[in-house]
Formats: sequence, structure tokens, C-alpha cells
Amino acid sequence: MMTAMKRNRSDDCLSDLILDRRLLGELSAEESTAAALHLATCTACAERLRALDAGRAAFLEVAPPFAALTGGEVRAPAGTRPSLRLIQGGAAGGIAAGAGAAGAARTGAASRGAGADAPGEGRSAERAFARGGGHTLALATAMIAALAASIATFTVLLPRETTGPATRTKGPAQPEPPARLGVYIKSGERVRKGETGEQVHPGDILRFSYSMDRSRHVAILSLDGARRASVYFPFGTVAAPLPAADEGTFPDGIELDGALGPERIYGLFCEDAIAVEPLRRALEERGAPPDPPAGCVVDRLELEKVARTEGPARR
Amino acid sequence: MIPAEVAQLELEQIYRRHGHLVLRRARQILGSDQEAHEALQEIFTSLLHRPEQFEGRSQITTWLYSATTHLCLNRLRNHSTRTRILTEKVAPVDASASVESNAEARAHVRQILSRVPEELARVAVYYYLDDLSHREIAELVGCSRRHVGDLLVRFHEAAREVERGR
Repeated sequence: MMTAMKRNRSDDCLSDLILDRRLLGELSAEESTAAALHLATCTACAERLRALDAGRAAFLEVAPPFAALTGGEVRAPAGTRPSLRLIQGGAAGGIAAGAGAAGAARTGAASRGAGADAPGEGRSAERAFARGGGHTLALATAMIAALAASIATFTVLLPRETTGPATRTKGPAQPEPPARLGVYIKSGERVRKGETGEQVHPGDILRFSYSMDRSRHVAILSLDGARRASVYFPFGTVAAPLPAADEGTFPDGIELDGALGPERIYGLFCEDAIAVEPLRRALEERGAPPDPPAGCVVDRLELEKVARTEGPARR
Repeated sequence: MIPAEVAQLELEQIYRRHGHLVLRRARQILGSDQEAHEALQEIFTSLLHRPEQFEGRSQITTWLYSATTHLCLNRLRNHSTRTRILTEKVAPVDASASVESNAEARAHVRQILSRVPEELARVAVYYYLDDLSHREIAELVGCSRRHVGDLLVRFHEAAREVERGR
């Protein structure tokens, strides 16, 4: 357990409390000067400050109105009624290029077959990560190269809200939703199962999983900290059918680019093959998910992309 | 202190300026976006109806750090939440193989936090989740830096006992 509880930054670095207070202008002159001096030489803290600032901006966009918040109901944040997991895909050109690369890669020889033994720990996660229609990490990398420019941020939120009133009320735990989105994260050689609120890094590869009680048409969209929306799945123009599964995996991985900040990922599980580009466009224009089409169940995840550091980096 | 007659207007401003850090920390501690939003609602609704809770002896940010930690640790102790953690599935493809999972590790951490005394759990939250220094923790909880060190030692001991199933 103790290995799971470790500080994120060195003892010399600034705490989240100091950084929050700095963003809010609450530091004394002396504290502010000391913080500024540290931030000038510590990349880790500077990146963390940017991430906290991005989170603050994102909250202002999607937080429920105060009156609704305190009126006895918990309302889902604006634009989060579809629990969307947004995968940043970006420009149509990027998607088309990615599709082309995927086509080329699929015809090529696999350098690493699905299910091959992977060294090190997390073998089940490795197999889950590598599984999927014979696609290999090489394929994922080819896809990533085509999509990387359009991948900004990745957000993974856990609320699992269905279509209908975007209202949650206190009380007994909600029934398990009929469809859920999951993610595996490959960072270097390590693969782990991800969850909301987790930090990811540029260069990390995401492989999505899902659970559904029956076959549905599925799409995955993302909204990054720069408010760029992308379609991670499918590569076609409409949501693609997937079979029911307890732990299904999507065929390809996504490599995260260098843009930092909160990333929101939305998964749509629909009765029909809905068009995805209008949703992506609405997501980008509004900075928040639109109301999901009728017949869709939405799940979402939120990750925080931060710079990869090996201890406190110094400029 | 927030005068009751202007509480709502000022509180709404506080909500917009500070709500992000309440939500962020609640997510970190609870590991659930839905529960984090419920915690956000609970804190600000409570402040709206009982503004005297914030006595102005510290900055509102510091007070919200403390209030969020207290509320979230209580929620971890809630039976239904604990049940969720204990029955949470982290589905390995192969049941005989181990899955390196931060999600599993964090669920285990939350079990620990829900079962050690709150005095110890909150210090652990500040130290490991917020990266606060001993000095900052001492100011937040109102004790000496040496006592913070003692509390962390006691937290580790209590955590080991929980893991041993005592």
C-alpha cells in the first residue's frame, strides 16, 4: 500500500495549496516572491500550475449553476449529460490520414501479435492492451503518427449518465449503467488500467475498453484543454457496431501529444449508427458535449495530461 | 465571517472562484466523479445554510481544503462507499495474472483512509495527495510540525494494522 502512497513532487517543490492560492491571488508578497522564484526554475511545478489553471478554467465552463447546485438537486455539469469520453482526434484531415495509415498498416506484417507474452509486470493489462483483431502496437503507432497533431488533451470522467434529465439525486447508489467505457494506459513499457482523475503524459498510449449488455453502435470523442474536439473511434463517419462484452477492447490505440491540461473523453453507445462529425463539431464549438441523440448511453472519463518529469526538473 | 444576508451572492462568487479545487480534491480522495460532484454540492449547500462555519480565521481556500478533506473522509467511511470499493471490479483478462493498476492501488489506499482514525487520514491526504509540507499541514490542522511527523508515523502504523486485517 505504501508504494501507492507517495508524494508527487519533491519536498522542495510547491504544494497544490500554494499553487491554488497563487492562482487566486491569495499569497502574501513574500510568499508570492518565493513561489515565483521556484516556478522560474522548476518545470514540474510550472507544469502543475498550468494544469491547475486549466482545471480552474474548465470548471467555470462546465460547473453546474450555483442555484441549481444548492437547490437540493445535483445537476450534471453543463455538457456532461452524455457521459462522453472524448478522444482527441482533431481535424478531418488528421482522421483521414489516420484512416489511410491504418489501412496501410493493416495490410502489413505484424511485428507483435496480439496476446504475445509481454515482459515485465501487468501481463493481463498488456494482453488487454495488445488485443484486438490482430492489430499490433506497430499499427497503433502508425495511427498515432497520423493523429498525433490533433490529439490535445484527454479527459476521462466517471459519471455514467444516461439520456434523459441530466439530474442526479442523492440516495441509494445508481444502478449499473448498460454500457461503460474504460481505458488502459501504456507508459513506456508499463501498462495499467486507468481511472478518472489520473495523470497521463505526452507519449502515453491509450487503449480503450468497454462493457455493454448488448450490441450497440459506439463512438468515442474527446475534448482537450485547448477545446479541440476529436473523434477517436470509429474512423468512419458514423458510430460503429460493437458486440456485447464484459471487457471488450477497441481495435487501436491512441498516442497522446504534447498539449497539457484536462482531457475529457466521452463514449457514446447508441441504438443507431449516428453521425459523429456533427457531435464533434458541437463539442468543439460549445466546449462541452451536446445533448446525446435519443437512444444513446454516454459514459465519460477525465484524465489530466502533465509533462513527464523524473523528479523536479530544473531549467 | 460571511454575513448571512449577503451569503448567497458572496458564496456564489466563492463557488466560481474556488469550486474547482473542491471538485479536484474530492475526485482525488473519492476516486469517483459522481461522488466528487455530490461532495461539491454538499459543501456549498452547507455553507449557504450555515455560513457561520467559516469563521474567517483562515483564508477561504485553506478552509475549503480542510472542509473537503473532512467531508470526503467521512464519505469514504460511509458503508455504501466502502462496499463499492470492496466490490469494485478491476477486470483482469486473465484472473491468474496480475494487472498493474493504479486504480486498484488507489482503491486500496481509500480503504486504508476509510479505516484509520480521521486525525491520521487527513494528514496522509495532505501529505501524499496535496504534497503539503509539514509546516503547511501544521498550519492547516493547527498543530506543531513535530506533531505532523508523529501523525504520519502513526498513520503508517495504523495502515499496516489495517492491511494485516486486525
